[in-house]
Amino acid sequence: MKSFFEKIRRNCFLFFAGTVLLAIVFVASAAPWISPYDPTKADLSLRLQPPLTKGHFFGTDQLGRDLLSRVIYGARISIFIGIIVVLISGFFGTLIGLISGFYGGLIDRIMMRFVDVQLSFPFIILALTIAAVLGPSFQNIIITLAVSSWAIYARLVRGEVLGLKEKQYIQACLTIGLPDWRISVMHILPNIFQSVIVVASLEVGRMIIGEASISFLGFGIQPPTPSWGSMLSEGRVYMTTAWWLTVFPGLGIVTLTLFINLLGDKLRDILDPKLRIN
Amino acid sequence: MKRFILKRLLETVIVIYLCLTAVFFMVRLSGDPVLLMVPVDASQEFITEFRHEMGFDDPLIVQYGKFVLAAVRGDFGKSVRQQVSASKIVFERIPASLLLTITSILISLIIAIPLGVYSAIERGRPVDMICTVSSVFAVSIPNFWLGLMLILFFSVFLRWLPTGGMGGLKHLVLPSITLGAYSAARIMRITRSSMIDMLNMDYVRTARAKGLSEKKVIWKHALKNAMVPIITITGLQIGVIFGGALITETIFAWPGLGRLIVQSISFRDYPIVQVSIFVTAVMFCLTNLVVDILYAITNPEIRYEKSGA
Repeated sequence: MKSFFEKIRRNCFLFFAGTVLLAIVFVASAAPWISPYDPTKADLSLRLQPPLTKGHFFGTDQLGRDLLSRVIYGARISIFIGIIVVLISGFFGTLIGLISGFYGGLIDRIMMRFVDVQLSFPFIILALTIAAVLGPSFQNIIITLAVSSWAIYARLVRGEVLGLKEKQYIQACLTIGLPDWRISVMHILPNIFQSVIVVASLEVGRMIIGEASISFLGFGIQPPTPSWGSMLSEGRVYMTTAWWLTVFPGLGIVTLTLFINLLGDKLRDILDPKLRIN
Repeated sequence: MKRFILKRLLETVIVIYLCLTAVFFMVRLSGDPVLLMVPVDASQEFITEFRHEMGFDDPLIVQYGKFVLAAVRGDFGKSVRQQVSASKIVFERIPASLLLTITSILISLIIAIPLGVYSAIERGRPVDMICTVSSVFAVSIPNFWLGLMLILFFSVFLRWLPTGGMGGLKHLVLPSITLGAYSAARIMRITRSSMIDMLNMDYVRTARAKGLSEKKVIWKHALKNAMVPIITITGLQIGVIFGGALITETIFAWPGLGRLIVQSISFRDYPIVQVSIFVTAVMFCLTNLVVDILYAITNPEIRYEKSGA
């Protein structure tokens, strides 16, 4: 009976986190209709107005742009980048892990050395350098983050495939001569999908913070496009006089990543009890 | 055991060599490294001269050979801005970086392990809930925002601590908290789950049954055996801290490697960027090596498996 209530409580929580996230995604995607102002429209007569000023709930920034509208548009960029990057790096990482684990041998050794090298560079350092070399643009930040994060999936998937390969039903598939792609896609992939989903959901949060960090350092999304990271770096200059410029965009990042992480953690507990320790 | 260490050592050397190769190709990702390094308004003659001077007009394979041979001797070329050896500039920054990294790791361990153990003992009670919730918070707060908020509160509002720079102990407080918070949360959660596993073990029951004090049972018997995953995650966190230093040092004007990387990227001084990134990767690889060896020493199962094979 106790475990029953436990389950309800847990799923209630999942429901709650999911609802909040959906609400954020909804607000972000409906930004053009919901946000009170154009996020890039400057009005120098109204610069640095504090929060709760009439018509500007979060106040205005150094160019008199409405901060609330900019935060809402910032969510759009963060969510979009988080999801796209995870889809790309998740796809390639899983593919490489599958090939590596399935065929083993030389391919596996070469691939895993690539993984080692990629994981030897701290994520943000690698991403920042690639972003700087490629030059700041929306497309490049996506490429950069994907190139810096595929290895996690590759390592995870490879490990799982190695374990699965020993299972009798996969051995049976090999014995009856099913083509490799068919075994991988129809018989191995469904069994490792849960772990990939768990890692991917947590990676969305990491990618959002990654984008914000790189934009904060000035090599990601460029002003006047309202990315939370670049808003923070612009607002930092005015920190002593206008605290709201650094507080609200940051709260945006924290709220979004917090709920993504909560959801990811719960998914991990429910889908994959094995992973809980690591 | 010896074989295992040798094998890991060899692997580390190979990975470090591959990292060097990666660093070589990284600045060539955009196609032409010269355009990346010269000022935006450089004249055509200057570009040609610079290309020749830096050896970028050689065939790629020759450039690579020269780069590796020089790098083995610790020579990564001159800084583009200051006519000094790039590795010298980078090595001058290492002490400051190490000071910050080590303080952050120590702070996060000092916070994380007692809280994690306490949380495990009080499992499901309010203390545990508070710890768990705050750890999820700490993982979700990007370090640059945490840094800015700490400055806003402790430096701008309360005026207790300096906003940046390197000096006495006071200068170390905010940057090391900023840098260590995320890792503290991760280490705390691992400590908690590892301790929970241990507290359910038979030997803990035996220890209690033979009348050992609860303190001894928990801190000596259980924690000692719970250390293996804690060591692993701490090793991984060192990499996270090296990365986080990039932003923390920039915010707090801390004269370490991370800030040097960001500044050199802005100044288009790529020889320095190359050395700094390479040094970071080497430090991370060596830490991993040490962690793996520690792991093998603390965990007999692993040792058996690896050296017996």
